[in-house]
Amino acid sequence: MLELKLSLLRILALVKKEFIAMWMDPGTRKILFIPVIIQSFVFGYGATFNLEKIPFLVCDNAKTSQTIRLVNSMQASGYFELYGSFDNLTLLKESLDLGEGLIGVYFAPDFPARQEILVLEDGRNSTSAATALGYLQQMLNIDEKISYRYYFNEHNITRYGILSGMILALSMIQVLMLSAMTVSREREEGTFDMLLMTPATSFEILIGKALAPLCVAIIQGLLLTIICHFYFNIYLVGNFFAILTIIFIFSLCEVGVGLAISAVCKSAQLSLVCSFLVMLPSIILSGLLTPLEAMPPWLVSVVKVCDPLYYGIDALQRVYLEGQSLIEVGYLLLPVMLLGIVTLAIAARLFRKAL
Amino acid sequence: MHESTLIEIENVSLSFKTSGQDFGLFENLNLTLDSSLKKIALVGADGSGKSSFLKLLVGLLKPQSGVVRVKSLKISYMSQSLGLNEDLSVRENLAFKLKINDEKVDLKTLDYLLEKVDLKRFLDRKAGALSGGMKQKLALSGVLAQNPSLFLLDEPTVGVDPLSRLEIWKLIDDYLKDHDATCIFSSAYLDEAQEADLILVLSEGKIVLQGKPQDLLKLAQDYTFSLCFSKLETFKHYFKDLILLSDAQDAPYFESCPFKDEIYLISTEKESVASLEQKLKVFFKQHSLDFSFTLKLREPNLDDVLLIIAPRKRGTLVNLEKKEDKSKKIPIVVQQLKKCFKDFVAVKSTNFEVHNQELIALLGPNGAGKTTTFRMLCALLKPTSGEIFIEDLNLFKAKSQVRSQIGYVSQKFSLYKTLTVQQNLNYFALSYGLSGDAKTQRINELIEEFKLRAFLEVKAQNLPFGIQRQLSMACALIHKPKILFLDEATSGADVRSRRVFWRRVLSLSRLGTTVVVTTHFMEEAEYCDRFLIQDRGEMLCLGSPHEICTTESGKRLSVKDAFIKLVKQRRADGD
Repeated sequence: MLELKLSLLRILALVKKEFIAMWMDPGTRKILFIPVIIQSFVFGYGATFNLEKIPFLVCDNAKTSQTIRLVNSMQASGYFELYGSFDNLTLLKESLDLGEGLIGVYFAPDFPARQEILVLEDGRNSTSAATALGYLQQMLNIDEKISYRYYFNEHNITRYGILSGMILALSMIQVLMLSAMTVSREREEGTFDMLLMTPATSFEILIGKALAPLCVAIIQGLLLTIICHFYFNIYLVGNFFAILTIIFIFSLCEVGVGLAISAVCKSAQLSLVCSFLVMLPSIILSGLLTPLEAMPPWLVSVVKVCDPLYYGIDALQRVYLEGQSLIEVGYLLLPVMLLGIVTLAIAARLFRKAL
Repeated sequence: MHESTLIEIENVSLSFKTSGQDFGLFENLNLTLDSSLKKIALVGADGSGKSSFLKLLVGLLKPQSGVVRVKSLKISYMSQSLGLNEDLSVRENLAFKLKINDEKVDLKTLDYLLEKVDLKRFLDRKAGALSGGMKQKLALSGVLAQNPSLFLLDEPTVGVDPLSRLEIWKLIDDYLKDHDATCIFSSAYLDEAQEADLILVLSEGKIVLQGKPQDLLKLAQDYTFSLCFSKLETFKHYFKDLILLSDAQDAPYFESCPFKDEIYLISTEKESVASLEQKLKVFFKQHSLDFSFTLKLREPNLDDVLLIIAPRKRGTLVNLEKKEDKSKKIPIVVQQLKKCFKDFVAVKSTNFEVHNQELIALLGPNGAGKTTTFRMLCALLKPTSGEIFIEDLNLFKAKSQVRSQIGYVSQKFSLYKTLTVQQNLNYFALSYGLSGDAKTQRINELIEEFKLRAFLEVKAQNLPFGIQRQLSMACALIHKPKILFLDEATSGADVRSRRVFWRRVLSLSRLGTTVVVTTHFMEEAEYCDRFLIQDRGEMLCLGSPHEICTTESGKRLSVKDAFIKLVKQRRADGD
């Protein structure tokens, strides 16, 4: 009983110290919340595939009522804006070369007979051009009576997916760095020896060190959720506590990764490099920005084994956008928990080895 | 500027900004140095402005106001960090140093230089892999190779053992003999400063004293005495009492330290032998100490001078209390301890025991395995083989239990810099299992004892060095440890703080604490009950200062001389 009390006291001492140190250090204090807010706005506005007012060029050699109607409806859709009209294809090509439009639409004189449109795309900007082409195809398809409907994101706004994913990704960046620096910085300043000289066991040190970054992660996650819901009007369909639970489990896993890095790296600089080494691939390969389906199968299996962000984002989006319950996404949280146990165990082991 | 003037400092003011606060260092500093001087020593505690002074002279720091004029000469400078490239070899380092200073480089000169400093054996070794003393020598040869007419050395012997210190000074003196040059150096070792032509004593950015050594030493005339005992037993029994009594309000002496089985005293005012002897007899009687002694006048040294000119602050309470620890447990037992780093043997199989309440020192040249041994004793490093028992507990099996019995002050005073004094104390108290009233009470005790009251809300990083040292000590003692480890706790401290520090350690050990220290100041080993000397990973000897320092012919050497003799002898036998 006494042992337990002493143990709790030591953990309390560590946690208190960590919070004070984090808050008192002007450098750390500044990076705790401000960058997350700024980033969420930057990504909220910037990280979107939705194009508006795509500049397009037309060369209409058919001049039928159908072609005129088509061009008009393109303009009226709001997605396209006419930047130039030409009499022959060469001029259209030249203008496209100069970058005056993203796509060029050519109606050949025999259009009424063949019902074929020639679309020229600016391949230098392939992602945007492909999206523009997609829009155009949708518009033309209306005649063929194929209709689309996006569930959970009715207007197919990419911000929905990206921002909700960012809730985990952004808080992960900070937490990974905070926890990765925690031990290596003490080592640099020489206080780690003092820490080791206290009766605290490595397990207690681990808990003490994990709690402060964990709290920061949860607060950051909540902050981002609030910004998404209230500012960007991405309606939170699911349960708020389910979101909280996901953020908690996910952050615990990342803190484990950070502490493991911290235990291995001798200097704060090395810790920083290592955490970037982990961070970038896990965000880029998480499926948040690029589809997992486009990756080679071996890479997909790597992601599925070691990227907690992949599972975390999937689970969070299901709750946030679809309103699934915790139990329904449980199968996605299980791997995150397993990864968390593994990373924390590794961290604890490395800690002990480092002692 | 006059023809014969080497350096002229006129109304120089310099201040730093640290975490928003302006910290003034120099204020209207004035100084003129003549070029006929060969060696100029800068002396003062950490933070007194020695390094900044040197940096001002070489132009690395710009004064906010005032002028620094230096005669146009070839100037060379060695910073405390030495400026070696750790990943370059010895030869490459030297070549780089020369090339970047526009000196011609040919292999012959390089080899000659390295031959002279005995580094030719390590031509291709990386500078980072050299021991402390060798690094200093390499950096120094880089400075001297440029044939400077003025060279400034910032602590050229810091952290270096007496043996390497001798070698370094031989190098400098040889150069000065052959060249028309001046060397300005800072040092924590006052015996080195005493060899200079001019000594500048810095304190808080002011030159509080300057002069030729012989003139400065005159200041201490009729102050310095030596107390001798007819029997060694009497010395052993009473010397700690006598040293602790320096702090007593009514003592006729205000400073004292053990030296070669005698006690060096500094009287409160100028005295003759007879009158001081009388006063001492009365004083000892009052404190019910009864023993016979003889008193003689002794030659003053620079330590005495600095102690005499420093403001005297006496602790009013002198605690002569002794506590016998009756426990049968042996505080530290080391068995077959061995440590290897890859194929390098840092510590060869070592055995020793530390007795109850003993004050024991670990001495050794750089790279002797002293720090490695020390870290293993503190459980900060795992030995390759062997066992350590602390209070009959196996150190590596009951870590947590053992740690609650030991306190540790590291070389760099490892405090949490962004935490205030109060927060630091709170953290360590909680960590060692103190809570509630017990915690508040213990912290208050320590605040009083270490005079920290005025600094409670100050962040550790903004504390003066002296207070940082006090705080580290307070943190280490918070749980009343049975064993205290002090790693180079006096490095960088001025004489007075070192004396105060040792009195505190003495009184701790009398109250039942076993104390293990490492130090670079050899004379500090005289305070200890026993000390051990290590070299090249091997334990050379372990014994009381008297046992180790008395030669076969019965002559008592100083610890420094004994150390040099022993290590040289062992190395000659080994080679």
